[in-house]
Amino acid sequence: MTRAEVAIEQAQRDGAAELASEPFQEAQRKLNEAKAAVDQRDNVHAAQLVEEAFAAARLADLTALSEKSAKAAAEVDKSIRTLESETNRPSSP
Amino acid sequence: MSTSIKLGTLSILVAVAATLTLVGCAAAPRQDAQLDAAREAVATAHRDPQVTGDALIELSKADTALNAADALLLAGKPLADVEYQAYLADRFARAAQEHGKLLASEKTIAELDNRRNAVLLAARERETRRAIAGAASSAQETAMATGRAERAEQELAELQAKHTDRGVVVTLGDVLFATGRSELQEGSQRSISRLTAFLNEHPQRTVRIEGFTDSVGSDAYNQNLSEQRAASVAGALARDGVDRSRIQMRGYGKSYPVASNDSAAGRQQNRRVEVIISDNDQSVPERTR
Repeated sequence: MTRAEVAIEQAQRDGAAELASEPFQEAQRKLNEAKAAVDQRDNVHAAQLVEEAFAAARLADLTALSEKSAKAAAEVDKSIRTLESETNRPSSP
Repeated sequence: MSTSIKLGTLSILVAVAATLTLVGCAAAPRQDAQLDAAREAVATAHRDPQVTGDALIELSKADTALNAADALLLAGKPLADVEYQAYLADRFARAAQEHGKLLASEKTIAELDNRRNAVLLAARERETRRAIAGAASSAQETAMATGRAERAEQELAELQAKHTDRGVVVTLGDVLFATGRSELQEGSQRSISRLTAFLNEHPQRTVRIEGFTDSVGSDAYNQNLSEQRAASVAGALARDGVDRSRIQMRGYGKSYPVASNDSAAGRQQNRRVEVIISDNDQSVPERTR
């Protein structure tokens, strides 16, 4: 349970709730289902649901991170283009 | 007889049909849509060139889960167990691709940072070069301008210029002219050159040329001679590059003597051309005394 919970918390910190809402909500749902299965003493199914929650949380986390990173790269690229055009402009007499 | 043959044939047919049915079952494996989708996701992740380095951790998990799913399916295990592994394979395969994208963006950002540093460095170097070149050329210009101005001032000083409230006054003696003539003598060029050097160095200043004579001869003669001598000097300055619009001239005849006309020495002093250079860009005021 803990491993999946940690992965979900990490994904949330990385902004997955907004940037990768589908896998993030899925991870949360799987975790809740796992808790319900434990309550019903269905430990085998609970273990599978925890693994699924972990996999979904990792997908959510990495999706959020790659999205943020791509956005950052695009911004850096834009700023460099601006910088290049400014510095290449001949100085006013 | 015929009945027994028929029964025998029927039993053979039934046996063949049963065999065919069994063979048919073995040839058509069990299928699961979720597993098919997972298989496709894993294959896509394997083809993705960005899935390298740490992203291979997720891809390895996806492979393991896919293999488990295939084995469970082949062993005829419950579809729920197959689909559990298929789920893991699918999510880890997609996570591997996201991880690959993340690594690629991080690499791009690192490269862009290097490029930005290079751009900034190049810009700083260019600025430095410009500043050095600018300082050198302005120092050179200043030195040259200072040198020119100093030389021009010196030239003027050699003409024994006097500073008055009308401006700088240079008196050119009658030695520049033959007696009774208004053409400049050949030796006068040095004085003219000194004047034009100064005027060219101070293009905003204007100049007034005034001609004077001694009291010998008629007023009309002296007036005319004084005007012609002033005009001669003005023409010489213009030929040396001083714009005509900067030059005024006037003849005063025998008026405004600077010495007594009773002696030869006094009369020589009175025969003169005065060149007045303005202190600013205004015309030199008319003479009043």
